[in-house]
Amino acid sequence: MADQPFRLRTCRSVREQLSAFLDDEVSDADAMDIARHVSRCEACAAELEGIRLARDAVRSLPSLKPPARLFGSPQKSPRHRRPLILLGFVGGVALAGTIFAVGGETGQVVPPVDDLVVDHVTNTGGDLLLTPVRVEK
Amino acid sequence: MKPVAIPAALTVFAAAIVTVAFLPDGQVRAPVDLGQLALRPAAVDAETLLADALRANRSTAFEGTLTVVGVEGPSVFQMDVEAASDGTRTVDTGSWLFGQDRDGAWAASDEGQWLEQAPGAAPDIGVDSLLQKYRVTSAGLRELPTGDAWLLVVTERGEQTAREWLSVDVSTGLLVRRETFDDDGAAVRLVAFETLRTAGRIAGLAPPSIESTLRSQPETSEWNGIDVAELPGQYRLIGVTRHDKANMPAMTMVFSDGLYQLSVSPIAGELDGGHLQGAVLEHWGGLHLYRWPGAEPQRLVWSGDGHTFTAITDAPLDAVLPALESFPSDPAPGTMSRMRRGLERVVDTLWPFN
Repeated sequence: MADQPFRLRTCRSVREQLSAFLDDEVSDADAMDIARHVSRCEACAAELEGIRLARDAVRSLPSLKPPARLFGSPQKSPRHRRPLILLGFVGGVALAGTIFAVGGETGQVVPPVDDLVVDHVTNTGGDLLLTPVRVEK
Repeated sequence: MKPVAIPAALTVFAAAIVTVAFLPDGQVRAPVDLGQLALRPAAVDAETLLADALRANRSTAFEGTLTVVGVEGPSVFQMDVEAASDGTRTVDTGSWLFGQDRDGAWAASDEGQWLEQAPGAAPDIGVDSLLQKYRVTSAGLRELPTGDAWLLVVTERGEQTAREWLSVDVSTGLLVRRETFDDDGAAVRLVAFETLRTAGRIAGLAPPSIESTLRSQPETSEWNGIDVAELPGQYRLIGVTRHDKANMPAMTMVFSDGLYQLSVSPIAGELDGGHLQGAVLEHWGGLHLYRWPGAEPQRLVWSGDGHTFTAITDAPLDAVLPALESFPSDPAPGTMSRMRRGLERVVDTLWPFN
């Protein structure tokens, strides 16, 4: 192929380090490799964006200290319900993040495209000019 | 494969720059029309001329250098081709040597890989199949680096825009140049002999046809409930091969509309699109497919209904798209489809009756 953006890192190795990459916990060299990879790989860029969105959503929540009466007061005024709403929101974000993470592609098939090209040319190569060949291996 | 410096190739193909409208940066000035050519009138029967040329390409011994110019690269590649007097044909791309003789077709790589296809007994569909879908007209005489040539224009019946310009060398009767256009009339590829030397006729041998290299006749006209005997666009099933590539049992269905060839190989299992090196995800019609821009022949990969499909073709993508859409295609990968898939998996996992 003319363009090989994955020469340095495979998608699998990049995805294993995306979380650490966001936390700035990878070496400078790894960070450059990962940044270069995700700039040219749509699948890994989408993975990175998904992780980033989920984290940003969780981190944007205010940190709360639940008041003691949250669990003791029989009266539920709107003011008392706010922590429950926030907890529900946190839970929703966590659930959405989990569903997003679980929904990633789990396909295992990487078709042997180059071999199939050779097959095609071998099968149909009777007319050289009518079947141009440009196989790169 | 031998990459060629573009300026040098463009010098050699100065005429091509004018006629096919390939620009130095690989862009296309579309559409191209015959008015740009300095054609001389010539009264010939176009259909007979094409049939004779195809026959000559199989019965004439020759050797030469074939150049392929694709617009998406921008890229220029050369290969050495030879049709020896004993009927053996070879194409040397640099990394692969493709051959065809009385025993069948074969391919050998410079890394020691070897592939063989025994000859089959399929009929030669010849130019008749091409003429069912396309009409061929003569546009006149043109001057090429290889000498004067008749220019034949191939247009799909019912359409106005030419799909191909085929040039037939006057002195040898060989097809020496092929210019391919998309449905807007924009040039997408040029294949031409840069040098050509004939060496008499191939004696005592019925030259192999395209279909005769296929291992077997189509043994089925149905795949997974889909009628594949003839796909939209008059792509007829001309052969089926079975193979085990990379430990993946698969079959390849080979189709032809008389001008272009299309191979489709379904493999059971979901596609891992993240590991298709160099491919880009594109949306064409109802298909969401991975494609390698600039590759010839075209390589297309998509998934649908629990299968991964690989299509290889020399046709412009717009010409073959209706045929590809006969096969199932999953929705485009995106946030919503990922959420839906994740929800399905969570429910599947937690569902107590599973």
